[in-house]
Amino acid sequence: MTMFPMNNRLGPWLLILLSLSLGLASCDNTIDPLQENDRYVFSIYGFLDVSVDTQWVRVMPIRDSLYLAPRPIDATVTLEHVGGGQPVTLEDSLFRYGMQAYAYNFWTDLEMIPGDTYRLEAMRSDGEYSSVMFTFPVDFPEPDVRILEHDVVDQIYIFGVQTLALVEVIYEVIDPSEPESEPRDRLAVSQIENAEGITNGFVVTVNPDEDALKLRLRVSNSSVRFKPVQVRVAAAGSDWPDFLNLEDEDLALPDVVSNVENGLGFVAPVMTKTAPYE
Amino acid sequence: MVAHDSIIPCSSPDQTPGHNNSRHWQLDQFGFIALLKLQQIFQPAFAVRFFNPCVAVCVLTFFLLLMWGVFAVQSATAQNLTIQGIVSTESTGQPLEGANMALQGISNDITDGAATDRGGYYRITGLEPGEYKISISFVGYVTYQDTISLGEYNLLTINISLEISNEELDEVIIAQKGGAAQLDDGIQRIRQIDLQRIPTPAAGGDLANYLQTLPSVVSAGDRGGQFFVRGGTPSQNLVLVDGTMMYRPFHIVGFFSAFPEDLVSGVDFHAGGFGARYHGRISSVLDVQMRDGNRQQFTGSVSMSPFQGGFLVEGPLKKGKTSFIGSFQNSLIEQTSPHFLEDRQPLKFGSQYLKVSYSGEYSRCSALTMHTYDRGRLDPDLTGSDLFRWTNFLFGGRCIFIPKTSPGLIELNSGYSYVNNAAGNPEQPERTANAQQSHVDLNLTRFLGDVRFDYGFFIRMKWFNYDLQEQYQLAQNDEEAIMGFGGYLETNIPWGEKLELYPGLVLSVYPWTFDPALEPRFRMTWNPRGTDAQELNASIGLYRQPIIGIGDDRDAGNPFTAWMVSPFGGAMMSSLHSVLGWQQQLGDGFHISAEGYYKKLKDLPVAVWSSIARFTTKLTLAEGKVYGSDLRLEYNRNQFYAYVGYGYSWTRYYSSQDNFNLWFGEPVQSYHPLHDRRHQVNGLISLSLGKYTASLNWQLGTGMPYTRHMGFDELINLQSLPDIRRQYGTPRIILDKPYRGRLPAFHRLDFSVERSLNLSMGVLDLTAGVINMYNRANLFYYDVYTQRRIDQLPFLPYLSVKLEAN
Repeated sequence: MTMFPMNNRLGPWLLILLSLSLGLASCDNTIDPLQENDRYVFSIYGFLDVSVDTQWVRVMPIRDSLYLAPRPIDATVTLEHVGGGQPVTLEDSLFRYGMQAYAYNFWTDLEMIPGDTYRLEAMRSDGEYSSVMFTFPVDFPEPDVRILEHDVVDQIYIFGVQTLALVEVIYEVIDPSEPESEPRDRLAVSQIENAEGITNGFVVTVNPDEDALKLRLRVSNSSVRFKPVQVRVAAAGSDWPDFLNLEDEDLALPDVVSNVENGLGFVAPVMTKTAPYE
Repeated sequence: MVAHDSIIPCSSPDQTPGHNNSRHWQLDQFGFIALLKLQQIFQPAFAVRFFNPCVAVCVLTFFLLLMWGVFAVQSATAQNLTIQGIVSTESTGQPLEGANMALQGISNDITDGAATDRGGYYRITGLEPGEYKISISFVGYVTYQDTISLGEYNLLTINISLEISNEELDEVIIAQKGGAAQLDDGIQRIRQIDLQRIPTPAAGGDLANYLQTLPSVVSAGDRGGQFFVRGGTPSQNLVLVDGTMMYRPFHIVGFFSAFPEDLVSGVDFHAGGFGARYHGRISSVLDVQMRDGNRQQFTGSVSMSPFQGGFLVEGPLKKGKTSFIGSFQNSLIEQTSPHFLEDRQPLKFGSQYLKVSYSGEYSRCSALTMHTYDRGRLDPDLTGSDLFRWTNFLFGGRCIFIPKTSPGLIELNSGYSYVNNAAGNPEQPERTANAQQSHVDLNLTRFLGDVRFDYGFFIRMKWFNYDLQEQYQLAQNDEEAIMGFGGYLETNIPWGEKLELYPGLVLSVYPWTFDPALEPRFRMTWNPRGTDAQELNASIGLYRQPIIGIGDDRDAGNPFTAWMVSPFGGAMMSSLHSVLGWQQQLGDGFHISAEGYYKKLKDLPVAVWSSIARFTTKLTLAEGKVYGSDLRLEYNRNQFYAYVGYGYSWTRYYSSQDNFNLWFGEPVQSYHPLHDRRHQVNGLISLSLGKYTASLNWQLGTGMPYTRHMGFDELINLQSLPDIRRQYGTPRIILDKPYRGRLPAFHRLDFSVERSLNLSMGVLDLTAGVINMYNRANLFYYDVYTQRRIDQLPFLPYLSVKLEAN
């Protein structure tokens, strides 16, 4: 057998290859997946309800990780009644959700005035801030529930509302095996899809039997009954998103549902009213 | 000893000049023929003409009768004599491709010759009555010589089995077709020896590991079992096992597949521009021919390495006629990895295979069945809901007949293929997808003079069911079936001594699902000096794919694929390929080849971009453009083999999505998808010194695209005015525009040295090697949620053993 004549010449080539490889081994292999963020400072979420005493709003920095141990938030959150005086600073409060999740929720007991405009601002110590300006809806009468005795559906009339954010019927869950004195669970069924615009308001058609079918899927006990006991209605400002025509992917996009300047999120000014379902 | 299988005299002839239709095409700005217009020309035209599937059946029947009639007339009128046959190996009956049949007239001065095709088939025509010396030779085999007399019959069939020569090859320049830089009519022939040369952490090479050395092929890494060919996705590759389609042939550990070197006879790899015989996929074709068992004696082998172990047995069922070969392979890495790696690798795979082959006088039949299993977590540190698993099962049968009455071949092929995919929680997977296909193919080879016609008919029945929960909103869970049929015609027209043309056409009909469609294809080869030493090859063609395989577009390493009929009603994926290549032999054993390509892709399903990456994703359509080039240099002489390959590839998708306008202010976004690896270099050296064989393989691939993010927050849907004190929200990732980042480059050096020892009971092969010699930390994937990077295998020495029984 003839030996391969290039054997002696192969050694240097192998050495060169190895040297090259070792050189390459030290090449940079780090990854920096974070794109520099100069657009969003904070995400701000929540609804401020002119009908309640205390307002809560979520303010969190846009951060480079999902799961981090809680650390102090570098944010000063203020609420200003536009044209109505000095801004007030909201109090922060750390909330934990499960093992790893946490969030800062800010609160104030500043009295809100229907129809007035406010500015909420979250500012970092370096001066970077996110803000949102919003206007509360004007006051409106309690919803008018009309139970139609000879019909399977009932109607709720809501007057004086331009934008309807929420309408829901609260059902009491009645378990025949439990004494009547026991507190009963309550479940809400949204009726927003059944709302139709009328002159100066909305009319909502409620079908308690259909709602009962939906509710039955949410409870484990098949022998319970559902009794409508209350109606809750929320009027919103004019920038309330058209949620019914937005899909989850669209909702998740940063700027699709957002009224926050230099930030993400949505702050909804609402006024809620409740009425007994009778 | 040379077996003379059969000499089958019969009556039939040949000859009538073929004709050629030529059309003139316009060149686009890239200098390629604008065949995309054909897509518009053919589809609507035939959609109208064949609107009813019954009409399509009639057209196919007419086509069949027409072909039959043409050949019948031709057979009846031809005058010249023809010799044909199949050349195979004596031990297994495996057809030998590239064997030379030489014929010299004794009573006349006729000298002629032919080489066998991939089925071992040869044919010499235009002979006159008289006596001839014939010689059939193939490197490494004993040459067959005989004297025959032509006169009584118009057609003589001589099937020959060649015996392996015991003489050592001395200073042989390997003349077999194949090798990384030697394309045969634009097709790469992969042989067992090619698989052997690549250092693989097992007792032998594997097709999966070899493919990663090709400049046209991009892999996701050493885990996942996904291959991307010239801008295409894994689900756009057609993998055939003896003619039966296989969905997921590559194992979860990237070195391995269902095709170890022991089982493979040869592989035809078409990186693009493939002929009309192949249809139903738009990217590439991997046509694997499995080896037949030894029909003379029982033999077998046992092997073991830290990655896998297994055994193989083969032998005659009826000596000289019928044989079997069976194999069992199972992974060991899960058990062995704690001993030589820091982390236990939660990866398991295996395959079982059985093939039975029969060689008759003028027919050859085989049947095979295969089962594979893969299961694992790509991130070894994760437990719970990150498990992937898939299973393949297939069986198929193939018979090839040499007709007595006329030159040519008839091949009947039928089979069934099944794949099951699951991802998520091992007990209750979040996503599952199954796909099944059964097929019947009839392939015929006939001749009109020197013009070869390969044509055939096919029937496909496909079933799919999947439950994707909410990952793909357009297709969450469903069961569906699709039936299709069609035919193809590919001709080989010699044009003088140097030019060969291969026009072809595919007609596919999927009633009630897609409009009937035509796929025109054209290939050509030009040998300017009349030899294979220089060859120009070019091809252009239209390709369609009725089914889609959708995965996670954000992660190239994610092996879950759900097969389904395109959910976009009537939009069949299509691709236009243009390929131009040149290969040159430079001296003894040195080959160089260069190939450029350009592809246009249409109606590709891609995931809609969402900011909540882990819950809902819709599908939408994209178009694509791909171009690139491969450059290969190969030196193969005596005991030394060296190969360098460089691949450049550029892939871009164009997608219009509703939310792009909301997100980016523009309705159409263009981006380089995750498999757009721009540069790839592969180097291989293999050297045999006495009983030692050493191989060194180096791979480099530039970084693949990924989408960078700007940060995280929690999304709160205020639709129901939730109390933020009670509701945390949904984690959201704030993404940049798609795929604008690039991962770090990948490179790795593998080494192996093999030693064979002759023992009384057989041959013991010992292989020692190292994967990732310089311990490069190659990124496999990066989890942006947890900010953890998972790297590919580190420096990993191994030792494998294989005992082959005498």
